Amino acid sequence: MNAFVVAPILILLAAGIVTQLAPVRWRRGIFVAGVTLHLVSAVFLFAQVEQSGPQAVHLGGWEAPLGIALVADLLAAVLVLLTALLGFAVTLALTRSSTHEDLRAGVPALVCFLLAGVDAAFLTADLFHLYVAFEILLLASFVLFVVGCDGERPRAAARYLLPAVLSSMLLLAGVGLLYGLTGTLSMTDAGARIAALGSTPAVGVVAAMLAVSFALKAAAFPVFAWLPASYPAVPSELAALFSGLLTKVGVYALVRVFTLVLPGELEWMGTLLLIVAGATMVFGVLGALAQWGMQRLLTFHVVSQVGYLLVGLGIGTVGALAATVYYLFHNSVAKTSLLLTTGQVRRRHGTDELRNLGGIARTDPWLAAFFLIAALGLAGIPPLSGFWAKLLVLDSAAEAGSWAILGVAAAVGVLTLLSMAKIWTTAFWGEGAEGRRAGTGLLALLPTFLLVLVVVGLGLFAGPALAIAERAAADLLDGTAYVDALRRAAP
Amino acid sequence: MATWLALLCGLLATVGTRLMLRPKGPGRALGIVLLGLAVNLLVFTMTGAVHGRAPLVEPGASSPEPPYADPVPQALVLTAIVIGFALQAFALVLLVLRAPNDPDEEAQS
Repeated sequence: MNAFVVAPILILLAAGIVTQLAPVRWRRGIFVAGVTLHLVSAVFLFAQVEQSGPQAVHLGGWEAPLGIALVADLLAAVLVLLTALLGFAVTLALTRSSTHEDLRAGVPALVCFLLAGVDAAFLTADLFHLYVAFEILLLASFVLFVVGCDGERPRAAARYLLPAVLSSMLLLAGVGLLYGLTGTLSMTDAGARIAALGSTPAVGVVAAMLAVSFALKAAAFPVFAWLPASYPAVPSELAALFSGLLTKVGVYALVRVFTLVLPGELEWMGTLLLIVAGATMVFGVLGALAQWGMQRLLTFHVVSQVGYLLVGLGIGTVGALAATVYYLFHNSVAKTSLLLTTGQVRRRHGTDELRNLGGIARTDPWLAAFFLIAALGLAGIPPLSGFWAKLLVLDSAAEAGSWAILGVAAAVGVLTLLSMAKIWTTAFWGEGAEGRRAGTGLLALLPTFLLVLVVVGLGLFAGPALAIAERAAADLLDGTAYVDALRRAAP
Repeated sequence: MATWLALLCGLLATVGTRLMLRPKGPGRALGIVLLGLAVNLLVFTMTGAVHGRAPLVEPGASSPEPPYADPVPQALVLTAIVIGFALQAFALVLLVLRAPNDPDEEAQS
């Protein structure tokens, strides 16, 4: 029994339950303690996996097909680390922005459960457990959507709820059909039996159902409209958490299932994925350019960036998947940082409308500096992390000879820079209406600072980070390390 | 039996989808309920509808005698029903709360 693999999930569940039972005035403290402990456990898990290869646990001591296994391979460990990092930063921001009402309504517990669901989705090696993990994180996010709600949020929550429910049902139906075909729910066993079955029409139906379900969760073209219609309505701190993690879980599930369970289906789905990826990039960035609200603009960008993530799976080489892993980590951190900054702007100026803002660079230089670094990182200016991320995607596209996707990705990169420049020139540069206010306090800037540090660090130490991404991608395509870990951990 | 269940499943899914596509109102919550039922039924009958053969191991045998009703889809459906129930309850509250001309929403906005 390897405690490191289960620890992140258990810590979060315990923290969530304890904060909800504790008196309201203690909730902040328990929340921060739990999420910090989760970060520590994620670092340990990552260190262990990085040194001694994938780790597995058979829950309850039962092997598949009877039991459920958790497997932390390098990809899962990296993503749990990402979850812990973003969870930590957002928690620090939330403890400052949460009102007494929010705390009483249980925002800390909900965030803990959401993070636990995300961790479980990354770690599980069982398809039905993946469905359950999705439901845990969805239910937590549904409630977070309407906690302390005002007029606009139930409307946005409904826009978020219906596609999420639909995608969960597709996932459940797909998993049910897959069980009917293979008689197992374990991803590795199902993969082996699907390989023996070959690419029959029934397998194609399962693949299509799962792909549509995950694409809905990831907000890929043409099923992305729910995201920019709902995320702008929630507080920026929560939008930061959702944007950083939720769509990425969809992308992860797509990558995991189509490398481990249904790799054969990528042959016909690869080109389709590339078309979807290109369209997602273009529609996302065009939508972003048209917006005049900071949070609206940034949430449209979430869609655009999902396109870049899908390129890796569409091409399907080690280099391309490594690009996806690196891109995913970088993008989540940069996007969360930008939305946390938006939260600061919203709180200080009461709006995030670009037309009503101006001159923040003068009144609040640190906040502006952090925004600038994260925005340039997102847009891909060297030596920040986004530059390497984009370069890798372009490089893998060129290697595969997908010139169309290369052109689209490069053009969308320029448009991304343009949209970031739009925010910078209107809100941060220029004449401010109010020049008298003092800058944001250092403590309030801490979460953004941490994330910006990661964006810079990932850029400066791109070599080691890329080496890890490449190992994760190689393990993903090879698949034997994953199976070996399961066998070694067998009770 | 299996054919009838498949047809019922399709009917539920059709009506559920149609209701979910309505632009507004609490009918959409009903759509979620019906579509959920269709999916549960699909998972439930995935390994065939075996009637009256519980998966019990006779004394002396090591596995139940086929054909028997596969217990795994039943366990899955049980979990899915519980999760779906929570989800549907939440959806009902949300979609009824935000229905047009809702006095609460108008008062708050």
